[in-house]
Amino acid sequence: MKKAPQLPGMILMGAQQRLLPPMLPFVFFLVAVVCHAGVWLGVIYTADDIPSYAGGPGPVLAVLHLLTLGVMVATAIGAAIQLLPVATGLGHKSLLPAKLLIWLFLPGLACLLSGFFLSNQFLMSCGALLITLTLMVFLHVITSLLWRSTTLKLAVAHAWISMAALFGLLGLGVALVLDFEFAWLMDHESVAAQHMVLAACGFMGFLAVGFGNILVPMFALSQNAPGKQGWVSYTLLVTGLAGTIAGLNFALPELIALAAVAGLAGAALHIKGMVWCLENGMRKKLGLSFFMIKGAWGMMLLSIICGFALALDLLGDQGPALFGFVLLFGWLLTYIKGMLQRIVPFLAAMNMSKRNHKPPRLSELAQGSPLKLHAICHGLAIVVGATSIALDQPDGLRVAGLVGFIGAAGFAWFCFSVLRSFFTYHRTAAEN
Amino acid sequence: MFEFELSITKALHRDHVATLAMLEKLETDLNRQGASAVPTADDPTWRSLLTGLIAVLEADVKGHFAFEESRLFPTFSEYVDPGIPTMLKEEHEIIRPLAEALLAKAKDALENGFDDASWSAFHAQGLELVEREVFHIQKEEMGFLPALEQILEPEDDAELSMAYSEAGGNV
Repeated sequence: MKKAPQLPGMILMGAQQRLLPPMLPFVFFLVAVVCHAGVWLGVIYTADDIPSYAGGPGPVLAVLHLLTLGVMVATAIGAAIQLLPVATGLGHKSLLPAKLLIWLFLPGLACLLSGFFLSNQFLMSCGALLITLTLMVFLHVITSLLWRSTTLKLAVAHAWISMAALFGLLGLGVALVLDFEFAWLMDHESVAAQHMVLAACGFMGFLAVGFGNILVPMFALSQNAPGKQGWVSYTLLVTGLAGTIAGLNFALPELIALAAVAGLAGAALHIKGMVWCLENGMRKKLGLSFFMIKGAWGMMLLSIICGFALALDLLGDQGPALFGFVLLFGWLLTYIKGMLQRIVPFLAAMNMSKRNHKPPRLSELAQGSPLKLHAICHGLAIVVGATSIALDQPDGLRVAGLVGFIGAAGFAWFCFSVLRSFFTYHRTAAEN
Repeated sequence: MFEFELSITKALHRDHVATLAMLEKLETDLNRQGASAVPTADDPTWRSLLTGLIAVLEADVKGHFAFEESRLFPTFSEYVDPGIPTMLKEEHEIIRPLAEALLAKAKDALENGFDDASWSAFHAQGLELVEREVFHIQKEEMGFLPALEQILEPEDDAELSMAYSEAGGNV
């Protein structure tokens, strides 16, 4: 026999011993669920301003950051602190930084959003400081795992780019907030665009693609896609990101368009690999979540095409808002919700195994009907929302916001049902 | 996910593939039929499914589970971590009676057909088995088999493969 290995999946296998305290990732998921509903209400509230929005503080910026920070970053933190140890087979050296995250994140989020909403510089600065601290701690938590990792090199490489983008977007974010007061940036609009690209495509995008390389084979029970196409995709995506940032920085729209082509090829190759996993996996019936994930992959390609058209000024006055909507709501939000509806019951079930009490089945944790409601409403909201922005129709956006909110309420119902089942199980197990 | 190199892990993986294929078929047919519509005793689709199900479940519970518990879990506990085999064995203990009940109902149905009560029970237990077994296989494929690949030497692999073959496993 050889010595004991450190392997992906080992932590998942030894759930009772090595999974994080379940409430640690779940708190972030709950924040994301609540903010998700808030985002669609925000769309209703700011519908008049969204189609022509091109930057600056105010309610639209608050809603935008409710989505990016409240939903996306909260989900990213909850998923990464739990799933990266599962993926790499490494445990956190200490849980203290992960526990500290929530205490920095929530007040930071509240300050920054109210600061943006009220255009209040003091609140914006306090919020930016707290969110920066939060994400620096997150950066430390994740990079300390990545340094030690010797497995899943492709997913880890994506995570490194994500962390590098996080570092960059934080610096630019602080610079932008201070610029509202001191007006010291040469080109606020360009820096804001770089901040957005680093956040959505760099930080969240690479994290989504990297986790996709782990989670899709895991849920489909498949091998990784054959050959080097994962690394070719990675190289193209990095080239696309770097080219876009350089193009924005030096005001070279042709370079941005070229970078978008590289990014599009990289995204298409990634999706090809993921589809291979689904087709060759042992588990064929993957349910509604993968219906959403496949939709998100389509929107990923569409968002890059929109970015290409925007760079060449082909999208008209509504171009920036349309690109932002397709990228953030169409791709990332759809992808996150598709993955989250599998991860939440999966992690709950992993933490529901006690010797004296039979664990429930995944389907017993929550009803499936709220997820169907969410999927239908989410799809409708995306189509109606994008069309309304393109046609500059605020009333259509209000409808999208209302439909999206109903869907988000369904999603929240599902998540709270899983939590209720989780607590009921542990209470009953303790009584037995 | 991993590509397996050893004979014993390849054999266990093949078992998982066969079991999952049968479970997916069972799940599809149970959902299509519904809990209240009892299939007729001479329905060729159901007779074929039940025959296949009996073969897979007998191989799984009597062969695969028993071999893991008698030969692999003790080795794994000694060299890697006792918590993991403990968890997998607990899952076997939940799945085994479910599979045995389903086996008995399937054999009886092949002879006598289903009535309302036996169909309703078969339908519910079948769907429960699908969920529990898929989750179990997911854990073994992600952690247990890859870890075995890392700790077993070629001579261990040869010995275990021989033992599994003698126990009726498809090596």
